[in-house]
Amino acid sequence: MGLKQVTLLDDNSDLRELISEYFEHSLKVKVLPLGNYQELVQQMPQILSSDLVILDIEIGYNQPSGYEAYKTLLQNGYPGLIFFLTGHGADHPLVQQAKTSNCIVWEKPITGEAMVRQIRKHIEQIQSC
Amino acid sequence: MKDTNNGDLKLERNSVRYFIYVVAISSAFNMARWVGLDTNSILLWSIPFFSAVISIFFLKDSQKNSTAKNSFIFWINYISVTYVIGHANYFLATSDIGFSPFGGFKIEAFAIALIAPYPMLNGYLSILGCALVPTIMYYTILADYQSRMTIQEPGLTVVTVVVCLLVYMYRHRGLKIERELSKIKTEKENLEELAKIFLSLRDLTNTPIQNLMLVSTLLIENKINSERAAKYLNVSTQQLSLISQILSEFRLADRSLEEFRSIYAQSDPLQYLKGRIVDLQKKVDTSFKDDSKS
Repeated sequence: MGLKQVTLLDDNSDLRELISEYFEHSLKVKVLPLGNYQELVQQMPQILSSDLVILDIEIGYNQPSGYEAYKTLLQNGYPGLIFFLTGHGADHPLVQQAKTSNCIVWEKPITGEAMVRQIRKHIEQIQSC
Repeated sequence: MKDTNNGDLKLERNSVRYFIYVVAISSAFNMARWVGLDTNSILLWSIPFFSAVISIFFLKDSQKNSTAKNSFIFWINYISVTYVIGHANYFLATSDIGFSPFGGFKIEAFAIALIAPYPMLNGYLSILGCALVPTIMYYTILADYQSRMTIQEPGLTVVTVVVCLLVYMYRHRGLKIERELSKIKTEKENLEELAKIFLSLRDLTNTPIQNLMLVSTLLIENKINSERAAKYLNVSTQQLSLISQILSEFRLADRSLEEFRSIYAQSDPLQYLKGRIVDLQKKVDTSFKDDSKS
């Protein structure tokens, strides 16, 4: 497993803590938790060295969405994997927008095992290339 | 309820406004017709013209709107233009100029019927006036000049007015259907919005459920101590029960969307709900801190 660091952007602090904890146990990675878009911009240098970024799509009312964060990451030359995580239905405009990115969109609720399984699968695919 | 009332008032104001425009334009036309011919006629037609022009300012959107005010403006203009039409008829009948008797009244009745002023009582009375005034004139002040008019009068004017009353009734039937359609459309939009609110409430349940799933996984794998797990469980279940409580409050009271909005938010119910959830989270966090202190 070439996975060293995962960045997680979610506005729910409990979810940030729980995912961090779960990933640190099961994937043995360091998780960089971010609460909003501003933190993402401020901590860009650390984020760029991540292997995987997980973005919640709706991060606060009237705030830049996870999709904006996705675009910012690409503009800054982030080379790694990006997954979206959303609490909204698939027909929500923000989710539709995120789906145009061709990234995986996880819909809450998703089990920890499923997350880990998908992450492993993608990392292995990249490594086998 | 408030919205439909506002809609009716707006309709009222607009109908009076159209009537005023017709009065202003036709008076201006009559004033122009007499330029260089008869100064008195110009002065006479300037009465409804100026009353209409002044009324336009009182019917601006920025002005206060009420049924009494709209009706008052309507009747002031109606009386001034009807008086001038009657006066002109008397003047022509007593002269030796060829003229079409009571033509102005007939045109006025048609104009009112087509514009369809609101409330309906104003419309019916004003159209009836277009038959009454010429008939009374015919048998009183114009009694000596009946031979100057066509043989059909005043019957032709009365029949014209009856036709106008029918036109007016049908116009209102159409307008009523239009109003009901717009009401149905508003209701449909409200229901769609309500459905969106409920779907968004469902979306709000996803994060707490996600947290519950992760906590249970961590507990099963024995990777979290029970005190911290309890904290997460507590917050998530409280969030879920808050959402459920909001939904049941709504159902029990059988509230309208407006009430729902006014209870849960000034502008955006979801923003408010999220605010409530964040508040709750803070409350839970601090209560746990207090517990650990004690």
